[in-house]
Parts: sequence; structure tokens; C-alpha cells
Amino acid sequence: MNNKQRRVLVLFVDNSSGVLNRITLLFSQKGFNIETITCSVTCVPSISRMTIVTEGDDLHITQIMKQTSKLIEVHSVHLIDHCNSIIRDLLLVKIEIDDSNKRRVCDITNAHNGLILDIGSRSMIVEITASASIIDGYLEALKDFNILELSRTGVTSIQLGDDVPDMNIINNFEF
Amino acid sequence: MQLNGSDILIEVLIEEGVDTVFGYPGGAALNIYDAIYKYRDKIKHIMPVDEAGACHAADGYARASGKTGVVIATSGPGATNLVTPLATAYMDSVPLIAITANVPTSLIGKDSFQEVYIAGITMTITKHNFVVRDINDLANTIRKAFYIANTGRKGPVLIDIPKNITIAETEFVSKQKITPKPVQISSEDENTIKEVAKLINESKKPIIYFGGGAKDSSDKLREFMINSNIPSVHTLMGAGVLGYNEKLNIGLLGMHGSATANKVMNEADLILAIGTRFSDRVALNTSKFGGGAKKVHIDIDRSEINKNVNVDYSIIGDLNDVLDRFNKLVKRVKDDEWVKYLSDLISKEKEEDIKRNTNKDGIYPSRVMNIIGEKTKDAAIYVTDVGQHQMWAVQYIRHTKPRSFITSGGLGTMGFGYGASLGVQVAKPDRRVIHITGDGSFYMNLNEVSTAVEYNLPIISIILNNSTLGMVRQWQTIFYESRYSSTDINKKMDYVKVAEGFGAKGFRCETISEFESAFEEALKCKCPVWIECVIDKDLRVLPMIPAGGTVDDIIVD
Repeated sequence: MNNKQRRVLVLFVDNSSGVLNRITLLFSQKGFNIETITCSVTCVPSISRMTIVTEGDDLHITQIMKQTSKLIEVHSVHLIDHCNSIIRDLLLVKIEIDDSNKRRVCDITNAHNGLILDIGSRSMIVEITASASIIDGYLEALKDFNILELSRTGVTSIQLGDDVPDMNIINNFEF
Repeated sequence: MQLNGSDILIEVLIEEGVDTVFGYPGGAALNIYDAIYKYRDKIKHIMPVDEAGACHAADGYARASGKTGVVIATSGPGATNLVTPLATAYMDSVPLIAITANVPTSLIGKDSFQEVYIAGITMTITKHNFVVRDINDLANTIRKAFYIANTGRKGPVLIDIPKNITIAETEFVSKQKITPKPVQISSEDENTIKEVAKLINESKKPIIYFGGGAKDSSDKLREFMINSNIPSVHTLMGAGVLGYNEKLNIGLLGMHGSATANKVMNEADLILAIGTRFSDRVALNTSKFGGGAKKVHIDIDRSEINKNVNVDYSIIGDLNDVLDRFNKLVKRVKDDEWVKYLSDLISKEKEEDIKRNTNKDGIYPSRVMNIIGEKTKDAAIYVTDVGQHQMWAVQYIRHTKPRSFITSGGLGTMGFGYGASLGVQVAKPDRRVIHITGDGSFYMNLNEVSTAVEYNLPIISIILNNSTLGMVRQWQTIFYESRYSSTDINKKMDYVKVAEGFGAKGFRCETISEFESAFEEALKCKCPVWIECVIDKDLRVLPMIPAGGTVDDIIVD
């Protein structure tokens, strides 16, 4: 089935300089847009976990997975199963408020399980950690308010249950 | 023992069995070149005219010998001159190590004189690359580079070494070379092999389609072809893997392949793609390629499966291993109607081709190639540039040995030929190297004849001079209503005089008998030779299937 849709890929890669560049170059070369990309070190200090959100059909995603698997610094590549994973995005947003609308913003934030981090005389800072669609919904609910500043992290994810993805170092050189 | 970075580099090259390197010195590479001087009894250094020539030479050396080619360049422009040759080697899966010197780490990132981030530049045209920032990492980085270049699908690896690392010292401990293991066949693929073997045994019209990935499996492939009684077609990169006169070898497939080879792909009920990648010069129309045949893809590189053409079965593994298993499982009847049908078709096509290319005045490329093949038999190695001459060479030389037809297939690099010929002649001093080129390609690297003269490399260059960029002109004729934009070359160079000026020998031929005599003379020469063959600029490479077309669109006249 060749349906073009949003996909989340998780890559376990060397924690070294140049790896991110190599992977993003590969996406550029194949004409793929990266919607979001996050990367951080794992419980193994030499390995980083990279989460990439992109859009493509099955053939393209399979090709990207094969091509990224070939890179020397990439240890394993996984396509995330949305039904079997926790997928989260972090939003930090600064909203303009006054006495007339402060209550309403607080209600909307609470309804989305948001956390109010700071209330100033003219603005409020909110944090929401949720799926991308809930964050999108929150921002939609705020469309009548003036957003002064916004920062989103991009997606990160982890598989449900006791299973863990294979982090085996497949390109292990013993020199 | 305590050694500096440059000495460590050479010591590891020796560990890896390297006895010849190609390169060009420069400021950032001074320490490396000092070590090359010091180790001159152990490692031979060949210095072409520029880094591009050196890298093509290292590539040619690797393609002809099966060893790893090594090229050394300095920083900045020296390193960037490697870009086209590295891309050439990458596209054709050639194991190559490129060592670039760089400015000292203290100057990196400051737009220093002759500084470029060559690792970034070459990221998509190398299998992998490294920047060495710590002397203690140097030896193992070089070892890893050789390992990577020769593991699975082979390819070029670049190592960038800042100048201060080349002089910094550390303890060096020599190690045994680690030989990469063949790619193992998975148990799942073992089952697929059994399933496919059954399919082969039951098929009525099977065909083998092989490419450059089969070059080191020539014997196993021949055994499989004969044992299974399955005819085969090949790509440009597969030329010579099986002999031209093998009964079941139908010949070249693709844009300039034989009509029969292209026709049978549509008529087959089973296609066995072996060590090939369904390139757009072969699978011209991916949706129609192979008609209704079941397709099986056998390759070492998983990412090639279903990349261009969707297949029914795939097997990943070392080709020798896979073919070994097929050779035990596959048996087919010998009095096969399909084989007889194809043999008749190809015999008829060859006869027509001979008629079309004989008894003609002037110099016809097909006759030139026939003569080259006849006079050199299997003793020579043919190196081509890119263009019409390349296609005439693959169609008519009748090459029959693996690693004896050296050409830039994937990237199509004009200017590849002379540099590569240098490397081939260095790798195979006992075999005659015949460099086949066109005037367009030859202008891109003719300066390298000075290198051949300097190192006494008796390369024979056959220059098919049609005073035009022949292949581009051919496309302009067919697809652009003969609007010849920038293809005609009006240089007034006297090839014979220029050859002599370089210290080589030159011939000019306007008839086929002049060519025959000149070629015989050239074979007796112990120096580089140019033979200019004046040909008609309107000659076309035929047959031709336009890009995106099928055998139904073939142009034969």
C-alpha cells in the first residue's frame, strides 16, 4: 500500500559530531522534508537517539530506512507504531493577557493539562507536553489570543510495554 | 614505538598491503610527503598532473587489480579536486581510500588559507569519511577506513588529517590487517533461495541479468548459467564478466544494448537480476521493465531492493555464496525451445550487425573496435572515457575477461579515461592498456599523457575524433531537431605534434587500413601512443532506446 502519511522514525546513532549532518543530508538527497528532528544521548553514553518526523509513502519510507541503516554511524532504525508508543512534543508558549482574558486562558490551559510556568503583568508562559495533535488543538483554542512567542521541541517517543528497541551496535569495529 | 602521524599513516598503509599510492603534494601535506620520501623503498608514489588524475588513477588501479586504491591530496583545492573522481568511484562501488591533509586544527573553521571542510563536501559521495582530530585515533581510523571500503558493497572512504596531527607523536603498535567477512545469508534468505530454485526449475523462459556486482563471481556465474541453461544479458558494468562468445551470453542490455537483449526482457517469465541495480540506463521505463516476468534480485546491498523496480523475491548475500547454493539446487532441461529461440535471434542480429558495419569507406568505429579486439585478444585491458566511443567499445571489442573493461558507468565521467589508464597500467604492467576515448573526453585529461611518459607507461590512446561531443549531438539530432547548441568542437590541434611534444608517439588515420597499420605499430611501441581516428560527426550509436522508452521505441537505423 503506497499511502503518503506522517511517519515517526527512531534511529540509534553514534553520539559524535557530524552524524546529524550526514542523516539530514541523506533526507535532502532523497527529497524528503523533515518536519521535526530531536536528538539526545541514551542510557548508553556513546549512543544517541534521534527521532525524525517525516511524510512519505511506504516505498519511500522503506528506502529511507534502508539507506540510513547503511550509514556507518547508524546502529538501528525503527518505524514507530503509533498505537504501541508514547509520542510526545513539548510546547512553551508566551501569551499576551490582561485582566479580562486571564481566566479564560487559564481554563483552556487546564483543559489541555498545561502547566502555567510564569504569570507576568502582561503575559503568561505555559508548558504543554502532549501528542502533537493535542498541542495543535491547544494552539487552535488560543487563536483569539495574542501569542507573543512560541517554541516547540518536535516529537520524541518511546515504545509501550517491556520490549525495548534493538540498540545493538551493528557496525562494531574492533581495532 | 613512538612515531609521528605521517609515519603512522604509512605504517598502517603497509599493514593493509598497500605498495603504491597516487597523489599530489602541498603545504598541508608536507609532513606526509616527507614520510613518503622516507618510506620510498616500501611504497611507490605516482604523481599525476593533478589530484583528479591521481584519484582516477587510484580508482583504475583498484578496478583492475581488485585491491584498494589510495590517493593522497593536500588541503583546500587539492582536496576539492577529488570530488568528481570520488563520486565516480562511489557510483561504481570501487574501494578507494582518499587521504586529504588539512590546515592545523588551530586554524580549522577560521577560513584559513587552503582550508575547506572536505568531510562535509564529500559526505554524499563517499561511503564514509573521517576527520582525525586526535593523534591517538589516527592508526585505527585508517584501519577502519580500509575495512569500511571493502565491506559489503565497496566504496570510497575519505580521511581528513590536519597538519598538526601529521607531525604529532604517539605510541604506535602494529596490528594484523582485518579482512572483512563476506555478507552472511540469513536463514530467511536461505528459504527464499530454495523457493527461487524451484521457480527456476519450473520456468519456461528465464533470463539472467547481471551487472558489475558479479565481476568477482565470474566462474560461479558461468557455472550457474551453463548448469541451469539460462541465457544471460549484462549491463555496461557487467561487460567481460562472461565471455562474448559464451553460447548463452546474449550481450549488452539497456539504452544501447542489443535489440535481442532488450526484447527478451519483455518476453521472459523469470528475471534473475544478479549484482545489478536496475539503473535508469537499463530499466529505462521502470513500470514496464521486465513485462510480466517474476523478478528475483540478488545483491549485497539491501537498499537496492525495490529501489527502482519492485521485485517478487530478494536475496541478500555474497554472490559467490548465493550462486554456490543455486548451483547445487538448479537443474534445467538442455533442449530448451527458449534457448534455441534466443540463439537464433542473437545470431541473426549479429549477422545483420556485421553486414551493417563492413565494406564501408572511411573509419567506422565498429571496425576500429573489432580490430582492437582481434589484435589484442584477451591480453589487453580496455579503459574508456564517456560518450559514443564508450558504447562502441562495449558493443564491438568483444572483451571476455572480468576487470578488463574499465569504464565510468554510474557517474559517466568524461575525463576519467586517461587518469584511470595510468592506474590500470601501474596495477597490470604486463598487460597492454588500450585507452579508448573521443575528442571531447580526451581534451578533459590529455595532460595526463605527460605522466605516462614520465613513468614509462605505454598506454595506447585511440581517439575517435568527430570534432563534436558525439553523444550529446546524437541526442540533439534525435530529440532537438538537430539544433547543435555548443556541441561542435572547432579546435585546430594537431594531435600528432602535441603527442610528440609530450614525449609520446602520435598517429593520424583517415582510413581503416591506416588505423590497422597504426595500431600494429603502436602495439610494438614501448612508450605512450595516441592514434587519432577521424570519423564522421553524424555517426550514431545504435541501437538506441530513448530514456523512459521500451524496446518498442528502439531506434536501429
